[in-house]
Amino acid sequence: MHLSTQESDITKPAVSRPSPASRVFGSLGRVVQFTRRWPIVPGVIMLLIVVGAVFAPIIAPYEPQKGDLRARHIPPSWLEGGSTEHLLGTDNLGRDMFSRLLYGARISLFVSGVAVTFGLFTGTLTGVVAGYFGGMVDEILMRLVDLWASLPFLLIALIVAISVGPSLGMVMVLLAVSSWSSGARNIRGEVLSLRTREYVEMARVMNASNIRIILRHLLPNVMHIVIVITTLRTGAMIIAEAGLSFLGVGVPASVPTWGLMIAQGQQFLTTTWWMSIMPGVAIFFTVMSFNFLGDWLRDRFDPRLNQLD
Amino acid sequence: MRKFFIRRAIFALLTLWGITFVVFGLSRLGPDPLLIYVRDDSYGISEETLQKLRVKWGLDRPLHVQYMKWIGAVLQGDLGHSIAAGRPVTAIIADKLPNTLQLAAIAWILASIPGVALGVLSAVKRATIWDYFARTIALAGQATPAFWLAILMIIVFAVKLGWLPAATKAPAIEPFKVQFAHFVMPALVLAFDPWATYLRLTRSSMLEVLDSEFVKLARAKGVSARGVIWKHAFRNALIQPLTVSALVLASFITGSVFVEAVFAWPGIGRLAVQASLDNDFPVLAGVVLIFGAAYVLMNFLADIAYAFVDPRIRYN
Repeated sequence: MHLSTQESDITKPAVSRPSPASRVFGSLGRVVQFTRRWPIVPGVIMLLIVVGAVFAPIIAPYEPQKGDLRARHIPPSWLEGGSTEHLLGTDNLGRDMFSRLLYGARISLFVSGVAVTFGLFTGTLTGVVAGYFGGMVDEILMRLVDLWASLPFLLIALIVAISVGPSLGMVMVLLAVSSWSSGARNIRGEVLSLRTREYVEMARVMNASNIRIILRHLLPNVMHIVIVITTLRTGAMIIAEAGLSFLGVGVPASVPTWGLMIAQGQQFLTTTWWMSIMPGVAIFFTVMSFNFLGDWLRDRFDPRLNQLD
Repeated sequence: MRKFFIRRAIFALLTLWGITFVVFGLSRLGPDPLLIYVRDDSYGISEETLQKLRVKWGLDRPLHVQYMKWIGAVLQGDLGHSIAAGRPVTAIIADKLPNTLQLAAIAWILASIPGVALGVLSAVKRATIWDYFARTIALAGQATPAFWLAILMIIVFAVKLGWLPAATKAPAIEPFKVQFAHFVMPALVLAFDPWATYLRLTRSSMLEVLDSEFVKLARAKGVSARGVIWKHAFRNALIQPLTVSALVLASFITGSVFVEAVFAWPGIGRLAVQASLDNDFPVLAGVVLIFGAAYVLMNFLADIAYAFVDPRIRYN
């Protein structure tokens, strides 16, 4: 069900629309409008998370896996009984939540980054090849994409978890493989229309090779779609990784991940509720900022991608 | 239409076959296929016993023989015996499937009606605070993992407020009120994700229809604003959400795995997770095949429904 040709008001760039926010809130609205024009808030959040993830060993006040049994179940610092020693409190084994979250960010961003990059690389290649060559090649590749899109990947992950066993590499491969087909169709559509443009025809008349036409003339012109889809897919990948770890079929339990932390906190909901809440908040803000950025890029680059889910 | 129908049906069958192939292929992907029946930390089992087990489950045979044997049994409705429970897999699934279906049906209603309503509201009151509110909820919904939302709701409504039971399905002898209370949280969580999809779809197709010639004509004729929205626009804008509703049901397959895991719901989603943790391949494969078949069927229905209401699709 691809509805990429539809037009609606979100399809127009955010800039050209008078912001109702400014009408409602006055001068505060102008600030809101500015943050709508440029993705300031999501950008800052994402920067914080990326910096936190990359420099986790330097920033983290404690080791993520080492617990202090005398400091178990300490609430976050702003609650009664909390202390600034443990900013976001500790878990049932006395491990520092803040440090664990930072290390969790590494896994989340790394896994989803690798998965999306690989998925988008193959997806783009498929889309460009299918769109450019057309005919039988197109038919076969697109059927394959359809088939892929109709496989339930969570269930497949459950099977791989028992046959191969949970590992970081397995999760990355699974997510990469599951996201492979997502961009292919949009990119193919774009290439189909690019193919008939004059400059591509001219290149062909000049006897340029297929590879040259694809690399020099087609790829640069679909890059904006690739960037938008990458950003939007990253959020979905972060949630997928967290989901697998939550179920205990993803990254092995020896690595602190956000999904695993939520699962571990599940037994302590009545007392140490922050164990489950904190990692979820981290996921929420990370994914939210990726989605906002993706939406913003889409408005800027290609309004027709509006219907992408 | 007929040609399209046949093509789609063949494709659906191919996909189903693809799923059996993937299930089997992946289960034999590991270093030792015995792992799908026995956990590798089951220490204390002698090498001879392991070898006997391999022979018992036919793991010493060539792969294509194993596949043919397995698929032959599946086609005859024999999904094997559960390793953990010792009962036939079909009996276990028959026990748990109704619980999952009930949950999905309620969640489906909870997702469709408010989702479509908010979509209409957001389109009609476009670029007002209502529109922003609805779209922010939709965006937030996409960024919230279902399992985390479930835990959040348990903390708020079960632990802190004590309004709703924290988990499981009530036994059938309990009064309706109690039964219903157990459904509220799992169904809401399951419904939350497709909500955003409905909202976006309804909103964009509503906007498109409101912008079309016949709506402009109706307005020019002097039809009231309400008449234009409900009589002219809404009916036409409803086509897309309707066709997508089959896909929403399909998405509950993934959703129910998480929701059932958190709420300890006795359905087949939780069964699958448990089977995966128990290395109980016959059960897991059975659930995956059932879910897979449902998934393929829903996709097929969505395609057909879409082609039915929009003739342009049939010729692509």
